[in-house]
Amino acid sequence: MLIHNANRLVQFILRRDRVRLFIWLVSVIGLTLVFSVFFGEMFPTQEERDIMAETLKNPAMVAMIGPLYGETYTQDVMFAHEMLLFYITAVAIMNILFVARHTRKDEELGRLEVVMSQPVGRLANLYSTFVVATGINITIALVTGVGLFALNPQTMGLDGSLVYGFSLGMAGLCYAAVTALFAQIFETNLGTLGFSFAFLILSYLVRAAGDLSGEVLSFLSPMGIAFRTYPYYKNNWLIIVLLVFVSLLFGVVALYLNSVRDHGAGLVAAKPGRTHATRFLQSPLGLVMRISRTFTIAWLVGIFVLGASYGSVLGDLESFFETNEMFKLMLPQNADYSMTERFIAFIQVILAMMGLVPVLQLVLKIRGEERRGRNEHVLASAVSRKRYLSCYVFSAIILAVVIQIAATLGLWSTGSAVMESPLAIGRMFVHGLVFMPSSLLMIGIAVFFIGWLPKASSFAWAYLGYCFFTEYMGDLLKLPKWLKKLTPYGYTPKLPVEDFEPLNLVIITAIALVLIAFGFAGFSKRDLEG
Amino acid sequence: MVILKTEDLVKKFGNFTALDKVNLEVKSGEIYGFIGPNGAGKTTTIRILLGILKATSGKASIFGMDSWKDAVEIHKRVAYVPGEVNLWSNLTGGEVIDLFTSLRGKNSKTRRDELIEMFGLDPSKKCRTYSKGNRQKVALVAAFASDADLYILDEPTSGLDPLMEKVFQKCIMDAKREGKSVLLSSHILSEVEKLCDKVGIIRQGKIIESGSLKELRHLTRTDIYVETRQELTGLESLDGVLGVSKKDEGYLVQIESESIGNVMESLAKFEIVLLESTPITLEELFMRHNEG
Repeated sequence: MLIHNANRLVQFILRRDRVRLFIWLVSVIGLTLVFSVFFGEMFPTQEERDIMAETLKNPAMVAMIGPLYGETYTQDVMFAHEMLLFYITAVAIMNILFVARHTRKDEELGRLEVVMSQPVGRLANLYSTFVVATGINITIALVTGVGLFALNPQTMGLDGSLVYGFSLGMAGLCYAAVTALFAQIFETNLGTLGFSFAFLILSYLVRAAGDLSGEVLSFLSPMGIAFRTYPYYKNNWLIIVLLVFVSLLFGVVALYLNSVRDHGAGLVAAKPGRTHATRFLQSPLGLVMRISRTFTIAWLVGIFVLGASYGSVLGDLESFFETNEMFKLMLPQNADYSMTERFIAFIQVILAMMGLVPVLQLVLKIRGEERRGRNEHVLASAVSRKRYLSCYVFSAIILAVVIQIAATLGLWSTGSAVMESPLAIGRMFVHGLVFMPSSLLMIGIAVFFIGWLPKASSFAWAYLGYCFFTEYMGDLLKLPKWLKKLTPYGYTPKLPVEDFEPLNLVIITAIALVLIAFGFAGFSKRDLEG
Repeated sequence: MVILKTEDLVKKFGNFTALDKVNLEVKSGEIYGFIGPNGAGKTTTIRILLGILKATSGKASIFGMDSWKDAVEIHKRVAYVPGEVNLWSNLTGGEVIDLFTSLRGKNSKTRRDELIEMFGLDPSKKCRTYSKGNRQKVALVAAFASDADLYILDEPTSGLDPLMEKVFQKCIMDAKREGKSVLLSSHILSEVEKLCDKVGIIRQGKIIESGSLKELRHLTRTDIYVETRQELTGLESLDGVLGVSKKDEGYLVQIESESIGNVMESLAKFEIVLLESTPITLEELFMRHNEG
């Protein structure tokens, strides 16, 4: 029997992942439900919703969240239209991680071999992974569907809510099946994950192209298909049947491939890597850049897209902010400037802080390397501690500048496309680079901790979180002003809305340099862990 | 010439004394075996010698330079293989070898390829796919491909199979022939016995024995097996006899090394037919120190 003892494996998978799955389910379902209530409060009148609908008609927004549908932009339609693709993406990520973990990852780590040596069928593992994935996605579909209706009985109908829930869940199942297929094809967990996420991104982009150019292309993408149930408007259950059919198809192919291949092998053999290091890699700086390469590139792309998505709304901002007092509060106050200019100034602070995530990650990597005992290899050779730390600091500074430029470029590219008068790119770069002293200060804090209190290095993250909170929410929540003044961003001018204050920037830079110098001194003196 | 030296080396971690006045000395061209149970302080000593940890007191020096202050100068001529070799999962073995050898400075490409061949390593594979033994091979190839004067090896063969151990031993002997020095910390005592000129035994942060194997043996006892024509009697009461037990046709006798002459004289009276002396192995020496 090919699936002998699959029941036991289902229990085993649930036992192994109970916490993980619980957290995923609670976050995905919980956030959907909370947002559905929040949406009602944010746009209470039809007038406000109509203004929002106008904003969302422009091509950049269609590409991002899908085409506008329905005769009137009612609250339920608005929720489904604006949320569905984002939640499908989240559910897809969950499914990809879940399936890869129980198929190729277990196989690569040799855990599956132990299971397979028991009296279980050849396909029992893949089959039970499917069973659990189906269970999770149906749970998401039902709880979301019923929950939306139960929390908003006045505005969201049961039929539409269930269609929304099942669009989400069955699209998730599609991505689970595709990942299972990739797990048969590729020999490594990294390959499986890489291609599954590439497929996710591609399906998002293909859908965007389809949504802009007539619908044909959108039907090549699971999320493009799922969107076409049009919850709360057409409530097209046939589309959901189509999604189930597509999932089954991929699932059956995956099961077949699993039955014909050897354990541990893939259909595509992992290609051998380089037998020699390039010249670039043969230095500590090359090593640091190489081991940071993947997340650096991912973040550069991510921050560009984030900038572009903010930029895409610039066209219709004036009318949008005029009617929404809450959003207006978030922006720097200065009546001399237009809403758009104030919004851009606000967004550039947010982008500057988001861009610091990979920068801090890069600096603090030296701690991770230390804990894993890999610094020894470098420091036991002819590389001094100061030189090694400076490689991390140098790379981080370069990354901070480059990522700020990427964010600004993203903001500018879509912003210029949707605005009547294009933005001045040169000035935007300057406005973005004003945050570099603050970035240097954050790097300085991290380096200081690396040198003196290595075990408490994650304080740098907490401080970045604090900066983000006070800048993003401080005015909205009417927090006392001095709370903002505890961060470098409280002293950095949001150009062009605030006045340029060169002295502040010089002081921030000086503090940063002192912290970095102290950090270096500490790192040269202390014991290394590992 | 003294290559490596520690004088009254002390290292404290909080209240815990990891090293308590450790004295080591490795001379030029010497292979020094550093043995002791887990947690005795071998790795801590090595990490101080490499300037990764700072000594609480005492001195550690290599090539006459201070291990802490002149770390970089020292490391140019030292090759190190850590006990637990952690590598970057997305680099290949070949890339890591090239990185390590170029960080150290002088290295030989032909020697590198020769060593990869000898150890049977596939350098095109990502490190994440390597077993413990293969990761050790990566570090060993990188170490022996560097033109170092001193090799510091911390349990380098714990993951290697017997064939690879042989290859490793050959590398050590080659290094010795070229006049290089080696500090070898190991659990495999037969290997230390085979390779090392000198041995230091560390226990709870203290060196409890050091010297050449011959000297160490001399300090303890000799085991002999003897068969005699006449029945052996009264041996137990002799000075310097530690134990007598019957085995096959004769007796196993353990004798304190300094009394061996006297005991022989007494034995001769019983008309010896067969006499075999089995030198104490390092393992027995080691066990003795750690039991008592």
